[in-house]
Amino acid sequence: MSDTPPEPTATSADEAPALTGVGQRLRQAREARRLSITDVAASLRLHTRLVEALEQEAFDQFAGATFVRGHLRNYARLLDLPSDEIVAALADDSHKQRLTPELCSPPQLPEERHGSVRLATVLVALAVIGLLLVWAISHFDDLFTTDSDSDAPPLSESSEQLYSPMPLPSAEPQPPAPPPQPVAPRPAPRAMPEPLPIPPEAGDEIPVPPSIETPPEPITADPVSQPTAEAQPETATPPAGPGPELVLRYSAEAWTEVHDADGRRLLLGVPRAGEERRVSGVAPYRVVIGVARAVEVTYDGEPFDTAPHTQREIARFTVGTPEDNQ
Amino acid sequence: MFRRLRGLFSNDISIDLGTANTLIYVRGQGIVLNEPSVVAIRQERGASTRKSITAVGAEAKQMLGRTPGNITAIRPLKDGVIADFTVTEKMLQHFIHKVHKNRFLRPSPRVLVCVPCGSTQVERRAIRESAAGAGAREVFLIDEPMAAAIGAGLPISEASGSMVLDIGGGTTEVAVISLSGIVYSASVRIGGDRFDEAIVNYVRRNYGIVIGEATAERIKHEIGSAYPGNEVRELEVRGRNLAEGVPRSFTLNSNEILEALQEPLTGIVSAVMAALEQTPPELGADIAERGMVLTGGGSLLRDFDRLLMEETGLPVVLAEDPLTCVARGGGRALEMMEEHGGELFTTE
Repeated sequence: MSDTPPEPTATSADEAPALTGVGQRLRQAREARRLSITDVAASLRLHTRLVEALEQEAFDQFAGATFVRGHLRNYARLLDLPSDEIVAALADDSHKQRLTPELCSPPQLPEERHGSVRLATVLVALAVIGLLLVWAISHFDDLFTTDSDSDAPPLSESSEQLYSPMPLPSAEPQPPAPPPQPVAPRPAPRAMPEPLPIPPEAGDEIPVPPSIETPPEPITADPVSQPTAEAQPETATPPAGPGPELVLRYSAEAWTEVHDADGRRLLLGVPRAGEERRVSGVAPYRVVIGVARAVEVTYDGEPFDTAPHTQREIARFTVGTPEDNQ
Repeated sequence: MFRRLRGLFSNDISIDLGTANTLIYVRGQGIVLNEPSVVAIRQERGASTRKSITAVGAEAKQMLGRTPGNITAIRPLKDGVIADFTVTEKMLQHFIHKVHKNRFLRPSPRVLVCVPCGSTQVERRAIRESAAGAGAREVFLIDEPMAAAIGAGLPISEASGSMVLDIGGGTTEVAVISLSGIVYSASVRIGGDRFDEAIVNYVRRNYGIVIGEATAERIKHEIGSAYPGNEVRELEVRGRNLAEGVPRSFTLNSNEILEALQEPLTGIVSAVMAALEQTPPELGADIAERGMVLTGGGSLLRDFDRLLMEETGLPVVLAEDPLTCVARGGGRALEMMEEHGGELFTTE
């Protein structure tokens, strides 16, 4: 097995012209030192055949370029020749090309395949990102429209957390607010908002709700529709319901929502600075104020401190007890 | 999923996580990082016990033995395995970031790490998790001698024996490989560090002078040898005289260092002899004809091949660029993964 190391690609044809003189140089140096091939083989612990192969530059007898360079370096060092020079001379010649493919180098194919797979994956990823963006934009559009319309009973009723960012949009989207308001009160001030939040109870409370229900709607519509309406709110908010009166005085614009114990919305809107709102229903009241410091709250004639219930400007609190209802 | 996405913008890398140096080979780019495995950690002053990394790599190595009280320069690997898990992870993270130019996305490459063949399952798992913690998307492990053989260009896939001796900073690995598999492998915890230690001890014993590890390493590089040569080289070094307590300079020669290194050298030669003894005769015959190949930084010790040649009676050749053989071999193994599958890699 030592005689014929596998080198199927090696041909004697391309070996002959590729002689670099390395072998020649080694032989001359050896002869100058009066060393025989056997002496060199003994020193290098190599077979004499391989020493001859080095001198004849028959490098295909070695198992790889590593061994060729290594043995050449050892041989050169034995003869006190500059080993780096010898190996460098070898690196330039065509033997290198003939020997290195042996190092089970992978073909370029996997690289290309990897590249195409990567490209395809990038495209798919971009498509997914694009779809996500489209979804996100449409989703946020929905959110904004529901916010500005401010007529989403499920949101206001079920999750107050969702309203936490409300003060921000509420300050800006005032212009969008008017369009729905003039429309809403006219066709069905009672029928529209009423059946949605409390369809089962609506029947029982028919006598009460109309008096409560009608005032809030004009309230929300008035302040935003015309400045002239500022006079109306004070007069247009007659106290109704058995509970005590809740008075809200505004020193600045503040988004406000008030529900009574029966879940009816007594107030929803963005009253302006200087306005005052009076509401009453069935105590206790659930109140959410967008800018707490802008509103002075009076419950049943007593001032109510909103500070303990305020988090990041937003005040959420329940005021009153069922016993307060007359 | 995001790791996979980020992986598209990361290159496969092979890491030679050595005791002395960490090398990183990036697929398609070659060796892109060769830094000492040293991390300098600063302990925040005051009540907080927070630690922060001050320097990694070459910069940290310069601090070794020269740090004030609140900074410690440590080598997180010892004897080829992780000694400090967290610091190793941070170091790997730093290196992986360094080899990825893309600052926009956090890199998440496939990583191949070379492990000593004598390392235990726990040590391998530590290395795997450390690499994963450093941001690797997938971690492969390969035995160091296998990577060294591939990096040295040995015909590992042939049905003939190839013997490789990889002398690293912490360990020396010897293996006989045939048909892309390891027939015999052994690991001894002797490496470049032990050479340095031996020099420090020798100087202390014979001169009564204490020298640092960095000085010992310099001595080893400049006048260290494994076999008596024709010329005797000398070097002037400085150290602290134990009796007087003051720095003194003195001269060492290569024969003294040869004497100092006898013990670790004998350990390595014994490991090689044991490997040859355990090698099946057919493969032994192949090795006797071709010779064994030396890789790793330790093989750069002058006349190491000569010593092994004399001791074993076999031809010994030094691989091209022995310092980077393992990292290059790891990189090649990653490239060959499509071709050979995972047969080159080790399981936990």
